[in-house]
Amino acid sequence: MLVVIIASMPTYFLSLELPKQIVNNPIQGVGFENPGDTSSFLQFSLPFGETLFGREIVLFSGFDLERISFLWALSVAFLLLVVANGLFKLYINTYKGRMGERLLRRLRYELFDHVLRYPLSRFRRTRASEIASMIKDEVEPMGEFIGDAFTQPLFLGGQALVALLFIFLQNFYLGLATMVVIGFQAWLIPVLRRRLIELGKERQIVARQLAGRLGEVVEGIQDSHTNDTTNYERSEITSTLGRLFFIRFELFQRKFSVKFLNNLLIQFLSFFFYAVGGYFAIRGTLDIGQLLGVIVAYKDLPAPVRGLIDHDQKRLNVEARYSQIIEQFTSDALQDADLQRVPDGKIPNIEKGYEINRLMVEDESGSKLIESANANIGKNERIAVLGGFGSGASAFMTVLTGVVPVSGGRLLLEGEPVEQQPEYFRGRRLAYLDSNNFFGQGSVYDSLTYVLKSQPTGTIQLEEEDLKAFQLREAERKKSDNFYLDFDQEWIDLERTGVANNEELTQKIRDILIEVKLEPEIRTFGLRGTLDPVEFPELTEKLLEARKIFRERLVELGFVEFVEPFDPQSYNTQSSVGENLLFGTAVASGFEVDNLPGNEIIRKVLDENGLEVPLFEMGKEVASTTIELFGDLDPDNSFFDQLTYMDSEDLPLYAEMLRKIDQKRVDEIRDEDRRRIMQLSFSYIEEQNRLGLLDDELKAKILSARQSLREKLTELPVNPVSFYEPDTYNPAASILDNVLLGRVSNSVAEGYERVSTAIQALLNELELTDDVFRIGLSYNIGSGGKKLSESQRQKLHLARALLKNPDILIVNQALNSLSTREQGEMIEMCLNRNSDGSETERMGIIWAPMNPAFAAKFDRILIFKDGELKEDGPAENISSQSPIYQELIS
Amino acid sequence: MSTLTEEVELLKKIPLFASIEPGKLKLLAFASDRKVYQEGQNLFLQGEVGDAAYVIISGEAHVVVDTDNGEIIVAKLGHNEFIGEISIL
Repeated sequence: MLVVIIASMPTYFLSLELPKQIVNNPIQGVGFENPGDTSSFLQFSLPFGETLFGREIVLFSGFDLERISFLWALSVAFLLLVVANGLFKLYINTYKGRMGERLLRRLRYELFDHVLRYPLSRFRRTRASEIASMIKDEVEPMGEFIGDAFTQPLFLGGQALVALLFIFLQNFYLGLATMVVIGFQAWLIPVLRRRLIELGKERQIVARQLAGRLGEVVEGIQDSHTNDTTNYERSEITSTLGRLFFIRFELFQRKFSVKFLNNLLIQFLSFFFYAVGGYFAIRGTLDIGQLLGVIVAYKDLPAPVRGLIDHDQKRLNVEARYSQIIEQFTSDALQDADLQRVPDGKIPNIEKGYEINRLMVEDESGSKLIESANANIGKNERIAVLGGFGSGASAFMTVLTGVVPVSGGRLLLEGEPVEQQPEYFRGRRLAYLDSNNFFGQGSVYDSLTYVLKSQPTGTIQLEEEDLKAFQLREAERKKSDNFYLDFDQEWIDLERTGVANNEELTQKIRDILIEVKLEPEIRTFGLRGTLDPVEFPELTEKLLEARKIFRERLVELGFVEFVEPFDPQSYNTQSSVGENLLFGTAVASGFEVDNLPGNEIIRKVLDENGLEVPLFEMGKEVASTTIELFGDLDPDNSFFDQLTYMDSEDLPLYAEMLRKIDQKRVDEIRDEDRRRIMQLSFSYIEEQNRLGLLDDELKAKILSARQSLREKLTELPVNPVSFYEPDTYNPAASILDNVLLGRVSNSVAEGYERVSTAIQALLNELELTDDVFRIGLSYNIGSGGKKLSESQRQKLHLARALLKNPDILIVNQALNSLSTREQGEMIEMCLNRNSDGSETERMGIIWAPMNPAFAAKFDRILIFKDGELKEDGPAENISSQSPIYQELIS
Repeated sequence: MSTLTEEVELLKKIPLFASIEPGKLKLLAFASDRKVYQEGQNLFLQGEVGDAAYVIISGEAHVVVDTDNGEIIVAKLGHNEFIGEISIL
């Protein structure tokens, strides 16, 4: 690129030279004193020919052209030069843009790589959102700058030099004057800008703090609400924003005053050129062409010079920024990259187990968590680890995983210090869970299979076109030195969990979820999930079949009294008037039940079917009855909880409205009032509200309106409503609602639960449970798994630990949200798991139970007290003889 | 399904409500749900925090206490009688 920049200089020089020639020769007529004179175009002489050889050496004698043609030729040449100049600029800009992006990518990747190798203790001191802000935002200007880092000084410097040289060639004194002013500028500006850099640095730090605090507030949002500290947060953020404002404002002030000074100097020079240059021109020492050239060159000069100064400023800024970030990201205790390498070949199983000798563990402040512990743990032992708060039991469980460093003594796994065992070994042969139960955003299936994604298991065969795209991505990736494993490959390691294909994996997941008692919940997610009939035509058919059977069995199940199926030919008394009219699920906005009264198509249909007046009257009736019932109640009265279609604060509003419209006809009423009154009749449910406002005649009218609305909507290019149709699957509704396709009255206790149980039983009978389960697996658990309950998350963690098929399962008080009974069941389940397998193959278990009494279920018990391993022996001995154990369980 | 007016008539017959003015009774009827329970279904369980009172319109309900010696029926309630009124006082 540097070559290109240097190569662009001569064209730049020529583009300055040409205007002079154009003005001097064809326009002013130099060399064309006589009509018919010609001048040679493109004559090219060897530079310095006269000095070297004593005469001009003409390399190319050029074409002889007349005055006008000469003008044309020169002008076209000028145009070409401008284009060439532009092309050079385009090329250089694209090139450096790409270079900057590559560097940015590399830098971000490197920083992220560092994050993955930090010691865990580091994260206790650093806010997550600050790290995100640094990697994402703060390095951005560096990427932009880096392309400029070398090209800009060369390009701009070159341009400035060429322009300066040009001025010098025209007139020595003008050149000298320019140089003096520019030199002064180059000295003065950086001095003025020094404070700007400091401000820039401050801005960076405050902005990062802001990002950090914002992230924290969001994470702790519940505490802000429960402790009434939202205003404290407001005030804190306000103060940070204030600091940021004043820093930025000062920055602007200074930036623009520097700019002002800069412009002033430049303008002073132009004054100088016009005045002094003009003087020379008049005197004849300088021809007009030269002066014009100088002025053009000079007009171009400030840009490169200012650019250079800017560039230097940017350099200082970015340097400060860079050192700031590097300082943040350097850590002496960075984990050796080799520990996270991708292994090739088979990963050995744990054979020997743990050897623990004079183990000492300290926390960051240096206080001792474990003072001394000696024990050997075989690969398939079943051990309970006990100890109260601060006893060292919990610290012991954590150091077993190797993510927390040991401070003294030895903790060997397979004869090597556990933290020096590579992560591929620890991560796949050990499973660890504690009460930290974070999940990334994704489906249940994603969360479970996450633990099987240690390295790609095979390459996907790519089509020719995809292959090309892949190669391009790959080549680009190499240039920024990013990580080499392709994300689009198959990452789930089926073999590790002992299954052959995805089908079996789902089955295996189901078995495990049954074991951790989460399977029914997943199926419930499935029932509440939706299904794309195009993607699963067979299942859709079967669900329609289920719907049919369910309808046939309503009598048999005793549901006739309170389940009212949707029938296009009859009015559904459990649904509101609006729902009856629409009779489907809105898939486009404007057709939700709340929006219906304002919808133009609906209005037209009401009008055509003579419903406008009756429904309006009905709405008025609802309003007046409601006012009569609730009018004199205090707005806080709990009776308002039962009022579903109106808020307590709306009551006076409706009262006022009724007074206003009392005597008017429907067509005289304001649209807004009409809409609000209609809203009431649209949400009226005869069965629930029981005001006796719907007679058979009105119902019949609504039914015919339903019919004509349906016709109108089907004619639209895209039907905004998915209708309730006994023979069609409704993709907008859940699976459960699709089988039900009706409403459950709340007049029967636990009616909905009974219906849902009956439908589950029916689906089971039709062998559709597998499919429902599968759909349940795709349920999105929300950011951090927040859509699951605490105990569901803990069970899910246990499930995925089991899915991993570890050699040793380490459970550190991880199931505290489960009931004591369930905790006991989970322990039993894990202990009995593959107990039918041979002694050598069974999974080792090291479990710190919440309830010490569970320890008796294990083979061996370790008890920590005051940072020391006090008891270690067979469970039956410890539980019967140890006084420390007795103390713990009492 | 009955309308609100019919329900008000029903409530009027209950001695406790006899003296309440009809307007308030209508409000009470409006805010109430009419529920059908099958034999053996629980209205609510011992130890639960109650949030509703029940008037038996037809049928019978037993108040059962879970003791160390098994379940003991302490009361039988029938037509027009109240259960759970303490919880909403």
